[in-house]
Amino acid sequence: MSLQILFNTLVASAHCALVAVGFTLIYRSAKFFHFAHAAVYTVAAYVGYVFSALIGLNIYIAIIAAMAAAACLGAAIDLWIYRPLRSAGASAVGLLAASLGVLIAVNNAVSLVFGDDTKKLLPPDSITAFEVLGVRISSTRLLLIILTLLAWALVYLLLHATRIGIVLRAVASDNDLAITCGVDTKMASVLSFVLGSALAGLAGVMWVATTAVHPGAGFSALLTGVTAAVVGGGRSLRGAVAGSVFVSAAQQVASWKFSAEWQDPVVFGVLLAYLIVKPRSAELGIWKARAI
Amino acid sequence: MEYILRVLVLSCVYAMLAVSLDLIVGYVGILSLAQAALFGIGAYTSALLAIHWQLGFLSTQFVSIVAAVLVSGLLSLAAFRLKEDYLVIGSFGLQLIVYSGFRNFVWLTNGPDGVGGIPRPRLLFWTIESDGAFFALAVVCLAVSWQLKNMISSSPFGRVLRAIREDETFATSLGKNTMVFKCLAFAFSAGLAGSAGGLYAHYARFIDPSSFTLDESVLLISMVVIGGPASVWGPVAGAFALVAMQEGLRFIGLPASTSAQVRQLLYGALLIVIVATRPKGLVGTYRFGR
Amino acid sequence: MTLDFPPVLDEVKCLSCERVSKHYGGIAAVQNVSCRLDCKQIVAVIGPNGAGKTTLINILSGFVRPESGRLLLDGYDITGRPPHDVAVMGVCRTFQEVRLLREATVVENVLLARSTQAGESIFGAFGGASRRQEVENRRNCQELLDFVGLEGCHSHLVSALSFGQQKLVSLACCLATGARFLMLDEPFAGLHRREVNDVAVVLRRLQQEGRAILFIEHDVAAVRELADSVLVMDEGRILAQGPIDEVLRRSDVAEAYLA
Repeated sequence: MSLQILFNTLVASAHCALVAVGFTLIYRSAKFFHFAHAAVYTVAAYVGYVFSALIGLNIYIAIIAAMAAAACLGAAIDLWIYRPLRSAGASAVGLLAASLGVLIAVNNAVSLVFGDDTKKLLPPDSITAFEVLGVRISSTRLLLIILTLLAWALVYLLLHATRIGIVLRAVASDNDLAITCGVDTKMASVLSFVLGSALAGLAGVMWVATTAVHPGAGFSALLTGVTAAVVGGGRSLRGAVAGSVFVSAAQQVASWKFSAEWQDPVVFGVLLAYLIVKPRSAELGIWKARAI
Repeated sequence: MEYILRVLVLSCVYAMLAVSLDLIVGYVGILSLAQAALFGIGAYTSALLAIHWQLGFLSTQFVSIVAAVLVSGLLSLAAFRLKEDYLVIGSFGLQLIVYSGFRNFVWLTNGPDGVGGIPRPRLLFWTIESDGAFFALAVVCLAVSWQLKNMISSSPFGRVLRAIREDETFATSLGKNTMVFKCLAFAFSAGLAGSAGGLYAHYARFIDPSSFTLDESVLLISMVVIGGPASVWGPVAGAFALVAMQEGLRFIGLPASTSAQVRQLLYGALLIVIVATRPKGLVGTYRFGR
Repeated sequence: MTLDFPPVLDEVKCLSCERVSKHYGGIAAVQNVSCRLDCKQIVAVIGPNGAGKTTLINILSGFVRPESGRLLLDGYDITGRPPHDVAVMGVCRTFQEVRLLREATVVENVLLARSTQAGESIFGAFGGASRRQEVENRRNCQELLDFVGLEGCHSHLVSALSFGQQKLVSLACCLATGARFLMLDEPFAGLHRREVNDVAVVLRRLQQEGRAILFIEHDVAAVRELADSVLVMDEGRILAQGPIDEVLRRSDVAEAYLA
């Protein structure tokens, strides 16, 4: 029993971490909470559904298509909504409001086209499942874990072993200094959106593959991912991963001890508890950022 | 005529909600995503009290307000010590959790099937049955909410809220305990939302979770931003305008199954457009998000 | 000894910090600094950029909690009290980048600063008393604005004022709080010679009234004219303290400035 929970936690952590890391990458560059991340997730899930269940291509093509769609949508939002707004002088609150507008508009567009019912990527009989040590493992779940690990490895390599990665990290730590050093921050911004959205897209398409999806699925994934990112410190990618494991574990335990409905409340509980207990360290409080 | 009254009553309810949210979005400057959840708390509280205990309107209003204020306190506990960013996330979480509570706590709320058979409101000995009488009640409730909110926003308390919106560090340096101000504003806003919820429950006589979703919260934000945040008439104008738009769509002849999505798609798009091109909204003077 | 309630403002005589330190990342912003500010005293803090002067004000006003050391008001330990509490106890500060409500009028800014307004409580907002008090507060604020030399600007938007005038508004706000200890971060920077003189006159009058003033400044002439004593900071430490001529004669001070 507990091994199954462990495996489920692993699967949930992988999914959550993709959303959380993607969100954090974008937050470090954009410096506000990009709520439309949920819309990117949802669109990717439906693109995957279209390519696989409707058109009938194999799952790997569907995954690539979904990630590409997500990356494009993320970049489009940055280029055509956030950037013009910033030029017009919008503050973080204005950008947040626009992000919400995008989220609602895209979500309802998806709902219009596909309806509100849940969709599955693959018919159940095409998924192979096998048992290892009493743990039921489906091929799609295994694929999720493998792809997630692959994605992290690539992201890590990108950030630490390439010039682009250095640019991204520079912008994340000190935007003004980066501009002074001649870093192309606009390119870095789009890149962050492309990368972060692609990760969210992978999460979305794998979610519809392993479970099912409906237009509201993005909200839940976003809440879980953002909680993980916040609990992990808000700016660190490794923290986002650690936070994901923690939040997913809490969710699985709640699911097992009580029932599946408690998953979302537990996540909020974790978020709430963290925000209450969070130490008011000078780095994270508002005093330091403003008064110095 | 019945149709017009219905639209007007709905507009009043939404206007009450927009007025309550304006305190937070317009005056304190925080995008709270939980207003629909608080609206729902008020609605379910009134509904259940009226059905199971036959309480009168004033009693159900009172308890609905208290319930909404208590739930908003959860958010205040966590988020007000920290940056606005975290507060928005916290409100997002609160909205989703309360909504899932409405859907999943079937023993209390009847889940997705909703609560029906809510009686018309009873004020002492008089039961408000007709649509016309209910409209009068709705106008009175709106007027009371509107007046209370404007008294607060034009008072020194409101001045501190605006200061928090512009420069919280400055307000702090002058000795204002900004956390207390934010908590109180949020509690007051929640109370007004809870009151609107009670009114709505008695009017619609049937409520289900679909009226209290995240989409609704964003719709309320849109009403405030489009109407003109931090102004006396802006939220009311925004509410009436968007309800009118919704009814206008009906006349275009969209099938009922898609009208809700089209409407919300338009709200989302309109929100972006207003933030980008006319941050003062329809009748406001404060430039939102600049 | 921890303070449970703020001391009566009129009786407070001295704000001091004892061996306070604060690091950011690996860098020491302030190291082992002790200083005191008494009523009727004007102290200037000078030093090269990055010396820790603003951090010192942040610590003295409660905006930054020191990692070690204590903040004392008349001997009572107020270390770690939130900045709004410290402000209520009579310590007000301005900011280098002039924080004000730019889209509000001058008099609204000063009205905001006024302490103990009944209308600021959420219930007080509904009473008639708050409206009467508002009228009186408005009169007081206008008097304060005249005192600092801003007659005629009362209903202008802050964004329409010159930099120097904005600094005067900041000063008026500090006074409106009733603060005894005023800490001004570069009050003369960006001002014309004549404006500098005007501000200096105001500060002298405040000193005579019994208030204490600490200011950060680069303008040596202004410092010489106003300050009773000078604190020289460099790299987070206090290099020298004392009357200005004495301090400026020291070779290590000259070196810190020229190096």
